[in-house]
Amino acid sequence: MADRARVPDYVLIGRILRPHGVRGMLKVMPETDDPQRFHLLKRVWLRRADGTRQEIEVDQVRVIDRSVLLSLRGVTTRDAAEAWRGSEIEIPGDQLLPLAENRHYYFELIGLAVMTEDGEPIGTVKDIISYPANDVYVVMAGDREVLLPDSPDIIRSIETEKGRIVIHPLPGLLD
Amino acid sequence: MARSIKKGPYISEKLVERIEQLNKNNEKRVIKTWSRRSTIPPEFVGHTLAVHNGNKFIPVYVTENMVGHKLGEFSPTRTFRGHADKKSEKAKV
Repeated sequence: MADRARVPDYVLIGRILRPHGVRGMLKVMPETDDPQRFHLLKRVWLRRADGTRQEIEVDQVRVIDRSVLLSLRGVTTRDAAEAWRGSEIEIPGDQLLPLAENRHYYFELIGLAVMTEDGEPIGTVKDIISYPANDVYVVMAGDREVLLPDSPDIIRSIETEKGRIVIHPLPGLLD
Repeated sequence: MARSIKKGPYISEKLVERIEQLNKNNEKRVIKTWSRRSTIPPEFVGHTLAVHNGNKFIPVYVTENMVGHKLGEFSPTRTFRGHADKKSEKAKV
């Protein structure tokens, strides 16, 4: 389960791409690992580019491969759907899907302190980048950027409740 | 026999020597390399190589399914825009 202290108030689960058809359906690009989770939604919060948020009920959901078609209460024409183009679909942080053990949401890891097994501080996680081979933690060590691969030889434990990642610094890693 | 089969894969000799030395001593360390054209042999599995992408060294943890590919394939040279949105409901495995 996600560490409550690190969960934001609202979590992004999709972006509205464009209207679909003439009855107000919206084509959505999911920003979640499991697009089927849209079937669980009863209401969503739509966030426009200007930052304003509106709560709206979900009428119908269709998941086709990796894309989602969404029908919202009160949005029944193509013009009404057009008004939501580019908006973000969010849910409150307490409606996050639970995760299996040893899995973490990306937002839980940003800002964690990184230290060695001996307790020596390295820095804080600024970003996580998915490279073809493995994820890479971008750690700010003072004004220097250190890249740490997500490999079992290096990442010993991720302790979100303690706010830290413990690493085994192989020789040459921090050079 | 195809010419490429006869010639065998290219692997930087210096890199092979260093990995063989590590394997011999049963040691692990991060090895920096500019040799993006080197093919990954089975001996590299389990090691972490920092592969230069023209700007910085990207750490690559070598796994079995990477054998036969080139090191450069795992260290993209273009600005990478594949981040998971930091506020999204996406999880790291």
